[in-house]
Amino acid sequence: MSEERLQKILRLIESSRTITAKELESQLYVSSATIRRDLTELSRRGLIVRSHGKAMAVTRMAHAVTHGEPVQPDDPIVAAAAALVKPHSTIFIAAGRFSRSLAKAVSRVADLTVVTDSLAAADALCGHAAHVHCTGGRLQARDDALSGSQAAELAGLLYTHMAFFSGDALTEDGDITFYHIDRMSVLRSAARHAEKRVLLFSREQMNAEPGSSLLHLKDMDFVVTDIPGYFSTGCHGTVIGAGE
Amino acid sequence: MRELRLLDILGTIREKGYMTTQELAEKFNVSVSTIRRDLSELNRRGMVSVSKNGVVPISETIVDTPVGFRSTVNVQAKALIARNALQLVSSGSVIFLDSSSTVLQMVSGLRNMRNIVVVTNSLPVATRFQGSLVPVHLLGGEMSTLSKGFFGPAAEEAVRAFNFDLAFFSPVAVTPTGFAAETTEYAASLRRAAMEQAQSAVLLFDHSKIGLTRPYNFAHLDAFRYLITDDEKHPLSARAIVRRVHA
Repeated sequence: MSEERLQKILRLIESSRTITAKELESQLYVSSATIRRDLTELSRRGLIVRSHGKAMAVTRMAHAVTHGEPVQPDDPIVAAAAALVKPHSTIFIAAGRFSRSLAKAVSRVADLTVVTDSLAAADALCGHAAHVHCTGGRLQARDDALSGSQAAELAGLLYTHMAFFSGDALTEDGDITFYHIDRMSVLRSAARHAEKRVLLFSREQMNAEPGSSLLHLKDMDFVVTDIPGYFSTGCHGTVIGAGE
Repeated sequence: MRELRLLDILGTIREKGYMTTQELAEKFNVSVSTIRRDLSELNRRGMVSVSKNGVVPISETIVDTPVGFRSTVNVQAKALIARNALQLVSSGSVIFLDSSSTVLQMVSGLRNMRNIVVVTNSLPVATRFQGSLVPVHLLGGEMSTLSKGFFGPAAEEAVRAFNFDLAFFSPVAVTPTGFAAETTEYAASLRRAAMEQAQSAVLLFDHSKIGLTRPYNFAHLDAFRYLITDDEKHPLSARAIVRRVHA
């Protein structure tokens, strides 16, 4: 497998919003079998997402979600979520759009232990929170999340009072979806070992392309959002409106 | 009264790792010259060491130094040593990088390499690989907030799941008895665990580390395949291959 061709394909995918396998074939003059193999490899590395014969760069989506507009610690959703955190407790912060700013916002909470699969959150907490545990694991290419079996094991090692998630997109059926399917075991393990689960959801995520369904809205005990009306049905947890 | 303040100052410095005289003066609400006198007293007793830029690392034999501070010492020599170490990495290698400032310097050279896998216990190393296509595994566990590294039973168990072609380490001290040594037991223990998984272990150290002592040995210099240093006068090891770099 040629690393150069993979890079070329990745650049083509990144420069267009979505691209079909056929279009790639005609641009690179290689067989459809080759393209399929290359796309499988790129998706295995977590660089692209494939659906219905189209390929989409994860960077593009993950970028829009996690880095698009930097979320500040005083963001209303972050502030409302941070207000749920009690001193002397243990929380899990899942990598995503809000992880760095939420970590910053809770860094002054007394005697807090934070478990996270996010490099950015671990970095933001360094020297602040009493204890920081990182799940470790495989770093997703061009992303901030750690995953894999070791990460899942560590994610479930500590019992947490609250786990904070932010999916990359939410479907109408209440599936909380993520662009990296590899994150499944970590996220599910963190959700299972938490007393309460909190979803952070902002207006910007409403029209995002869905990824893999790894968590579900019905499992969330709280939803912190700037569009509470969106959750008037189908949500068992408490909806907390932020910034109105 | 003064004795109590001295103890408080010592406690604060131990907690923070380092502080400036200005910060200490503000914290204890006394003048800078009072703090200077207190520090020279602590220095006389061998409890802190005072450096010229006002930064006050306490005697490092008992407290871990922050990576941010360590990476400002002997920058040029460390860069040369790191560059030399890169020559050992070939395509297809699985490599371990420890949480030292010297090894951190290797990342810029490794980011664009093809067909390598990196395992590390260092948050800064993992962060600097972000955006590259190199597969990176971070060992998890509790973070040592000063060195931004992961140590302890979880990290040690995680490292045993890997086989390394090459493992790169840089110690806090190379003792007069010929051991690479660390400040804390867990830092030495994790490195030892990583070393056991490696075909070849490589030790990077600039000359300023030679002759220092720290309480926890992690390995004798003879146990390494390569030693890379800017030192020119010490024999170092009869068994390891010594690569000397010149500024």
